[in-house]
Amino acid sequence: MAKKNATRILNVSLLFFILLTTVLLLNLGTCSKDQKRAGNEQTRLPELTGRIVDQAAVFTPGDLARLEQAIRTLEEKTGGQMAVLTLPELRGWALEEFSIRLAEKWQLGQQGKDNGAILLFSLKEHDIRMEIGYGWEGDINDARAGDIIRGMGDYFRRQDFAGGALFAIQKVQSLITGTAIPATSEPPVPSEAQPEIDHKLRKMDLLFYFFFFGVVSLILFVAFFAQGRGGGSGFGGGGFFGGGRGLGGGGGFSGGSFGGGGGGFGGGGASGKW
Amino acid sequence: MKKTILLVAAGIVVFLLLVVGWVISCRNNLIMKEEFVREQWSQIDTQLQRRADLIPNLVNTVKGYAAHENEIFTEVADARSRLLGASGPEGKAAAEGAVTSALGRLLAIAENYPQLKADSTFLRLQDELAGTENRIGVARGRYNQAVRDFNTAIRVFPGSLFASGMGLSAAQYFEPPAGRAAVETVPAVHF
Repeated sequence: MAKKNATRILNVSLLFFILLTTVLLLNLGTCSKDQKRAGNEQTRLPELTGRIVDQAAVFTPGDLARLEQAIRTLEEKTGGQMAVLTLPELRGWALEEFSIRLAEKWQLGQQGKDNGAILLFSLKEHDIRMEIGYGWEGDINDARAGDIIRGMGDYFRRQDFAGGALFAIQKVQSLITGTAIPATSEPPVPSEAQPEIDHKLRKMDLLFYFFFFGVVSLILFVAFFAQGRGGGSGFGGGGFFGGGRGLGGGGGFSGGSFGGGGGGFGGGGASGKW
Repeated sequence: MKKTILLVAAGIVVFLLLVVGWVISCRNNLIMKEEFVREQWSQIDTQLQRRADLIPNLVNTVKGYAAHENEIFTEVADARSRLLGASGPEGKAAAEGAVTSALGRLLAIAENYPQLKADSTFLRLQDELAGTENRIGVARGRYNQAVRDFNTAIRVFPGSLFASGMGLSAAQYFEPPAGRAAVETVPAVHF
């Protein structure tokens, strides 16, 4: 009888000891905690609401449709992504700093390929910038980006913002694909086939979304007991969240609408004024 | 009796697995942070090299229009060779500051030569130079962040337990060394 009690005590204390160790180790963390990033301006940067974010309201609905179509053509022909942002003013930001933070937030282009570009201009300061992703820096080097901006300047000085933006989009496409776009070509009218494709993508996106959601929940559950954000949680080594990159796939998760593909930017591109 | 021994043995194995798993995780994370620091440094190094490569072209283009401004050409050339000779993040940061200063003065002088300012080669070189400097700025931010993450990880507990055993020591920030007088930087000239 005494033996049974002794064994029970032994078992319980062993269990308790293991539990204690687990709690201790989980609290100590796995040396993976990353320090807070300097400045949390993510909340003040514009959201990627579409291929064209026209905060300065310089585009007519006709312009928007034409530019949207031009960007879709670019996506199709190059496999990359591009967005246009218009601002009434920069509101104290330095152009280049704003641009790179925006690029880090929007993450245009496919992860790994980094084939994205952002065109942004600000009405008050007359600033234009083209931010080019890592993957496109070879074909669109800084000098070429500068040439594009100088070309846009001609349009902008005539107040033809849509013309300038279209010029830039087409230039980017032709530099990447290596083929010139005929000057007089109007972007083709969207065909009937397109809505169908969007629908299929949406279905797949949903499936993937639910699957991923399940996996993420599981990992987050484990991660909640571990120390620190952005690092490894369990005992298999860390770094799952370390990259801080978005999820790939051109469709994005916001119901089939436009979303960044996780592409990276390094500060390449050019700035200018008109 | 047998059952007890089995249970206790299992318990000890579980305990050891926990500890070993934790130790491995920690060491791996520290290594990954250090590797990330190296990765970010090579970004900076690449861009510094690229800027050094652009400078001779730029100087020659300016010389084509402003041949007698010898003083600034020498200054730029000196700053450039000091940068190429510098070593370590702090050393290179100090040298980089000097190059930025000298280039700023060169571009300010170029302002006085309208024909130069209209020269398409000069414009494109300026784009390249500005692009490289922007990249240096971006890379600097990312590198310093990586250094901060790593240095903190090896100083806090439990990272500090492993750091010396693994031979990990704090990395240098990409900043001029604290003791030296700050390098005066001329604001970039926008055309």
